[in-house]
Amino acid sequence: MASRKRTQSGGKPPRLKVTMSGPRVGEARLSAADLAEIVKRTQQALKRVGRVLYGDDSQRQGRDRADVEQLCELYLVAWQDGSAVAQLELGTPTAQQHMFGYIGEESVTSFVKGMDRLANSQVSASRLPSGFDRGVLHTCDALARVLEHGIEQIRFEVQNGATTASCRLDLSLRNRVQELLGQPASVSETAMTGRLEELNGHGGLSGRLWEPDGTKWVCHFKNEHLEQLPDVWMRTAKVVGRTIIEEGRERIFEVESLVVLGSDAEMSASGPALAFWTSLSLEELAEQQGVAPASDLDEISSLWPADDDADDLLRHVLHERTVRRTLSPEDHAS
Amino acid sequence: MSVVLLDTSVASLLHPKKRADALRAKYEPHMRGQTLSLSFQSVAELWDWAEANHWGNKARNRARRLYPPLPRDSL
Repeated sequence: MASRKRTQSGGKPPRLKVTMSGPRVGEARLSAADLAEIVKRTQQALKRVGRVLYGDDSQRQGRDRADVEQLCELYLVAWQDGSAVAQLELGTPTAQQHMFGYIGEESVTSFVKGMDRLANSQVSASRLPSGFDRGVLHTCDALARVLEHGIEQIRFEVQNGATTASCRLDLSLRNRVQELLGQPASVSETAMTGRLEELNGHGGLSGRLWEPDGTKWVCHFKNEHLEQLPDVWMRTAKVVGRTIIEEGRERIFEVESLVVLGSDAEMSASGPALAFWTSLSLEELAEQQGVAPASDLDEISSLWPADDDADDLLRHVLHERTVRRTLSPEDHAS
Repeated sequence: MSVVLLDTSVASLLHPKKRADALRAKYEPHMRGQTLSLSFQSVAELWDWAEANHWGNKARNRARRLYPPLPRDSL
């Protein structure tokens, strides 16, 4: 049985207008995969905002609240002619769900206003906008991945009764989100940068992170990090969380949030002009890759397989170079 | 502190069997305390060596701490 649509404002349900623009976006034309990703991530963000407004941690484990899930469900209701504009609407709440308030509507408004605050106000990791926590920031970061391939910005506009709000997700805002994800939220937290290796999903998500000075940490991740981990593996990442150091045991890092360094967006930290074809100095590259000065050359040597032969290596390299030099253009083409 | 770009032949001097090598001794003062870097060509040559010698996962994981992996589809 269909239930009557009721709203906080008593009028029309709020609509979320999402406008995409950029070189890969044509008039009323957008990759279906990008649209699906944008809608999926936006919906995930709204649900997480809803959980935070409800007083929960958006990344908490266990089953999601069915009411929040349903109230924050988005439906595509219109595709505007002339530009890539999607109009989304919340699902219809049942009469029983009104006892939980208007979480769906509040989520949409809080999401848009919060994103706008992130872009335009001094916000710190310990004082995020209403409805926001690290889980929401992670979702915003994931949503912004579509900016890596031809979408320059996504504009969100919401009209809820007399309340209107808008925000613009672009590379600048994504950089701000990543900056916040890399900030400790309390004095008990710390941030560190290193290379994440040896991921393990057996009996919980864990991995080993090597700091540039060789310090090794066993990182314990949350289930909500699962989606990010394949992107972070074997790359330099910044992790924020709590350290546990006990004598005679491996150093443990309980990860609250993580950001991949060296991604396209990270490389564009000083603006969209820094794309892959832009040259960086060796110093900038070293900083970006978290490379520290070599204080102990023997420690570097110890990473090389002991049964390997350096002279054979050089002979092999020189032989391969000679072979390449003697190849004809036809050989290269084939 | 500055960034030093190593040729493949100089990088190979960091091999453990070259610890006592006279040539390494000449290069060490120029490497110690510096940020060491490799060109993409050297990285490719070093991974080619790992491929040619069928290095296992353990050796490869340790090598990844020395130089970055190549894109998966090139190996």
